[in-house]
Amino acid sequence: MKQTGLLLHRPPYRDTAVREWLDAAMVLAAFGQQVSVVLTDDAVWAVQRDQDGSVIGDKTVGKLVAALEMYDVHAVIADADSLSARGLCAGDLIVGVRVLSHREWQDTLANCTVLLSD
Amino acid sequence: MSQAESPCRLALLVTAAPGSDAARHALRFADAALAAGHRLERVFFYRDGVGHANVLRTPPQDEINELPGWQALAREHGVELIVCIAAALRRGVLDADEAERQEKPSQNLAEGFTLSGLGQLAEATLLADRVVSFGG
Repeated sequence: MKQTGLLLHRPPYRDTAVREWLDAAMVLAAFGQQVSVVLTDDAVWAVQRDQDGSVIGDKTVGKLVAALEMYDVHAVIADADSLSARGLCAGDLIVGVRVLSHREWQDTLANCTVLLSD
Repeated sequence: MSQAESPCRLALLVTAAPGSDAARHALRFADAALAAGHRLERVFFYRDGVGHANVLRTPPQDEINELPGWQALAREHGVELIVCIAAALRRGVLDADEAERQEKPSQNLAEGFTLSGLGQLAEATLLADRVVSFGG
């Protein structure tokens, strides 16, 4: 099984980047790949619980994140330092999101044979 | 290619918009890889990279237009140029079928390119030895 890592940096509501990469994650997982999504920097806002995109007339990216498990995406990982820099803690996140240190998620990506980044 | 190296099956993922540094690097990398004897199976255009398939894009004459370069890859080396259909529709790149389906006045997909789904990216990552990504 191919292991694919997806490293996302961009904020979820600036443009369509996070949405399109999460779409790609779902399809790659549906094709039998073991997909790990790592969110760092402003991309961690995508995994905040109780977000509501309709306030700005947009889709809610968090719903897409919550659906990743259903599509057999292996892991959704948020960078610990990026979370704390934004005043977020594990309790603020969508259920199922793992919080890892920079070193820990780098190890995860180091084991991937395909690495994609925004 | 040195004798120690064996040919590699490559696929490219291009998310960089036309006119960007990364787009130019992608095309030059493709040319160099083929010249070195490697096999380039497929180029998958995603996100802003779908703009490469827009035949109506008209940069000034003193700026680089990557389109003929991509089309030469398809024509001369049989490289598949696959454009993500969802990303393309979102950015106004349509083939004749989609133009009719979406009731748009014209199509603008350049010759040599094909609209298809993200499954083609998944397949490319499974079949290729290396996937090289050029982002914006």
